[in-house]
Amino acid sequence: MAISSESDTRQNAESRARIVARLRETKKAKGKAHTLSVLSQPVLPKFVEREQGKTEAFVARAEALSCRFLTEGKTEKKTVAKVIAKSSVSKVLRDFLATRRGKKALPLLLFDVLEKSYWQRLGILKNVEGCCRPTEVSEEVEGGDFEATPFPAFSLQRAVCAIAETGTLVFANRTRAQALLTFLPTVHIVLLAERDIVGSLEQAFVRVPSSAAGLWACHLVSGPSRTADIEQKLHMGAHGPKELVVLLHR
Amino acid sequence: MTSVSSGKSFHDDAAAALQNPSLQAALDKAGAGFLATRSRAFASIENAQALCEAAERVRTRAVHDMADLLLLFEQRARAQGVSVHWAETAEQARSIVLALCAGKRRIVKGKSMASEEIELNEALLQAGAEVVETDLGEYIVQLAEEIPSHIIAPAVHKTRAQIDALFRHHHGGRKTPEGRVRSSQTLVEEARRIIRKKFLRAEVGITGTNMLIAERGAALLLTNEGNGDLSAIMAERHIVLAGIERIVASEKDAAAVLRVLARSATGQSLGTYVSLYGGTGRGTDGTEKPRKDMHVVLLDNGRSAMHGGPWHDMLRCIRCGACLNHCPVYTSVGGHAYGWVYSGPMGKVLSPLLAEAGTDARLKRRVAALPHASSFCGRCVEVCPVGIPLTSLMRKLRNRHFERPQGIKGWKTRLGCLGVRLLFAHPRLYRSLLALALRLLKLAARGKGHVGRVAWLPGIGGWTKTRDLPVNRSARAAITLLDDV
Amino acid sequence: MTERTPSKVAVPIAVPIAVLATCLADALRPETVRATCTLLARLSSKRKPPALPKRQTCCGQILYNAGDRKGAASQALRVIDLFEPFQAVVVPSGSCAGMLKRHYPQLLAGTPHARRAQAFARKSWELTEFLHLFRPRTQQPETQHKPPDKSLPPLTWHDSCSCLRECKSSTSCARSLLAARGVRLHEASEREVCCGFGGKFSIANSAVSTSMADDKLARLQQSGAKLVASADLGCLLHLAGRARRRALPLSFVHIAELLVEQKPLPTIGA
Repeated sequence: MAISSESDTRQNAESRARIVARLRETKKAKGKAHTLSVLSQPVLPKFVEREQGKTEAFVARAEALSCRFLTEGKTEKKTVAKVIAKSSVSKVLRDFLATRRGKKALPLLLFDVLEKSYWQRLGILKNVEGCCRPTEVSEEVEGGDFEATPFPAFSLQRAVCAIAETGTLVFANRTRAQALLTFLPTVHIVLLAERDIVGSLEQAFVRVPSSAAGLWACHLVSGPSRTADIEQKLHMGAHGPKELVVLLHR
Repeated sequence: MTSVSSGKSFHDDAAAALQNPSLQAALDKAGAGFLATRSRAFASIENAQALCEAAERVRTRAVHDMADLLLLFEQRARAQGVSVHWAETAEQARSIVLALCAGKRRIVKGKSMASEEIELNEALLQAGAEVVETDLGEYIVQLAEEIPSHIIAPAVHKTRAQIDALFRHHHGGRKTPEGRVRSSQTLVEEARRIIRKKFLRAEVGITGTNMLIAERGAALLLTNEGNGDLSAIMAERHIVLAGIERIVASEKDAAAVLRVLARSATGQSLGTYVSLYGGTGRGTDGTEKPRKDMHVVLLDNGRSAMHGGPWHDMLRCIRCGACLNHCPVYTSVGGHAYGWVYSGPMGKVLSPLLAEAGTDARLKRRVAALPHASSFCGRCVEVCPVGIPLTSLMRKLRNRHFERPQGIKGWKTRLGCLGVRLLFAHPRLYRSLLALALRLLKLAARGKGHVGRVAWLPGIGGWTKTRDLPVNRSARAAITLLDDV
Repeated sequence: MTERTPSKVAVPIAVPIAVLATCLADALRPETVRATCTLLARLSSKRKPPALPKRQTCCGQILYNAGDRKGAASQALRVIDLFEPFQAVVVPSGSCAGMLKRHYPQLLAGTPHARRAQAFARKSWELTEFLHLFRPRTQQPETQHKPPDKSLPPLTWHDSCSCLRECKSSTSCARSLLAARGVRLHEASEREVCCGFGGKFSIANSAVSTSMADDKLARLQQSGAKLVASADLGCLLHLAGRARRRALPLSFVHIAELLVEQKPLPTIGA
């Protein structure tokens, strides 16, 4: 790559030196060095401090953002019903997928190869057969691999936590393959443990591992992809998923 | 692509914009929505003021310590395998990106005002690459060969009919009956289909960033469509273009800014996708070859010159667009009249300052008069979540014009002011001239058909062209009149 | 935005007060200045009219907004010199009052006159703020409800931007004065949006300014009002001039002239 040649590096160093010098020269430096974060205590919206029932708050906000929670019953309105037993995750997912079975070929269900054993333990991979085609995505995946199926129907992914403040699901993706699961499919299906619901943005960031611990990218997802670029009319599924489906378990 | 504007001044372009019916229709549709959603978003939190103050503190400190934070960012990012490039000028930034794109042809782009600022697309196209803007609004604007007219909603000036026509022209396909405009849903679907193909085959993804987080060495990207993320993920090379003032210290600080950013911009509490990118996607065992590489280009282009000076406060801007949405001038004429990528009140301050750092003399002249195009109503200051004193900054820019007049208009203003100063220093002279002027005004108001008003007056033709001037019937100033009683 | 309504109620005042007529009213609308003086005289214990210093010209905002900071600063100093002997300076315009209250201290900050400017800012008043604060006891809305004034056409109130954002209490003061006068307001929508005057802006950016005026006039008409009152002559001249040109059935009046209760009601440009 041309950029790593000797002269370019020198130019980079010179530019850096000049920019930093200009910023330093004018900096009205007073007092001692700062702590890294300017806010010793985060300033939270009042409702965050007040909310005790985090699950309820999270579910309400996420639903307002067009997230869909799968339940065991048919049309349960209560939040409690949206928290399902871990043992029934597999069945609930199967029931959902069964309603979406394609007419011709079975739709794809993408999952991360590194999570394979986890999904197997939950019995999901076996259980959903017949409703869809579970397909593992590994790090070797390229965009070109999807040219035949540019819009894979489903993906299955675990959220690292969720934020009650904003109704947001948090994904700490270690590989590009994992990130693909978040953005490529039409329906993004997410598994979330109730104990992983946190109150605020700050609390969520604490749960996101550092790059040194293997993180590649972190994604805070609040509802399905959307756009209002045409006459301010809101539409789901601009480029990312059209639906965000949550399996919230105990 | 960057056909900036047709006219040579804000004045001309604004007048043309007011005569453009489809633009006016689009602006009318957009207007109220932005305001209502923003005010709802802030009304729903009791301590909105405190949240804004926290964000302001974060930004103030980040701008103050910009040098140290940038160096920390670079150090952390490098340690994670990210390359960091420093660009002093637009030209330098362009050549860095061009070098990174050498030999690659298919480029997808997420929304980036910095890339508009350095006119990157033009350079990439010239180098023979295929560049696709992937934010729907940006994509529309790119097809129309225009520049964004709003920093948050780039195609806000386009009507559905215009977009339909653009898509038909560029996407080909079958024709639908004349006069039938497709639904926005259909148009979104069509763009999704076409751009998805571009994502899958992309070699380089270029995005902007909302914040660089020093502590984590990561770039934060906020989108609603997910296009920025697909740009970052799908291609093997991800280039982030960032103005140096995008820096913040930590995630905690970023959270404080995030709380007011989306609320101010679109009335959302967060924005659909907030992503942190700061690594190369190594295998989990750490031995595998990185499958992606990431580059951050730090763009100065006049920003460091603003630091510590009279325009320092402007560096705090988080590009939420609230000042645009609440500006009566912006909502009347749209973004293109401002002649460059930044519009509305923030553009009136930022454009002249950034243009000065560049080499484009025409652009410099074009945007120099922007600070004068304000009625100083002050609504922008009221809604700015990070407390930027936009009107004061515009006044300071006007002051600089006064001190260093440019062109005939500049000198006219200066001479006018010097004349006014003279009158103010000599109240008696002021009184006699005023008395004379009032008598003349009364004579002028005697014309048939418009008794008691003046329909045309030299010197204030800008007023009388569209408005009468109600005159003082007694033809005597209040001070003299009341003194006599 | 917090709106503070001065709640203190004073006895008829005996302090020496002066009126800064403002250059616009001085030259184009002496009726407003006269009404201002009349209103202030009514507040005084001996019906003594306020002082109207003859050497006054303008608050200097015209220079300030044109970019002539130095010229504005020296004009500010001149105004302070002239009006300093008085206990209160009353200005029948939100924009000029804002200049005295907000911008003089900024203009003279760092000069030997900084403190004077701050003290001067504290005793400068927008007319409606002053009238409300020192209103006679008989005008207490809680003690007396004046029957609606049937002689008035349906009336709406235009908040000038400087009243809204630089003299924040005046928007509620004006409304309460009008209520005491027996006026029921037909409130317009989007009252916080600028009418497009902006001094030199209205001339240099005529097209945009006019379009803003048209938007404002449309909203004022939608309110069902036939008469528009405001505390800023700049906005009124601009809107009245535009309404006249378009022959709209709207007339305009400065609040001072409305509160004097003169008959027939004098309107701008009539």
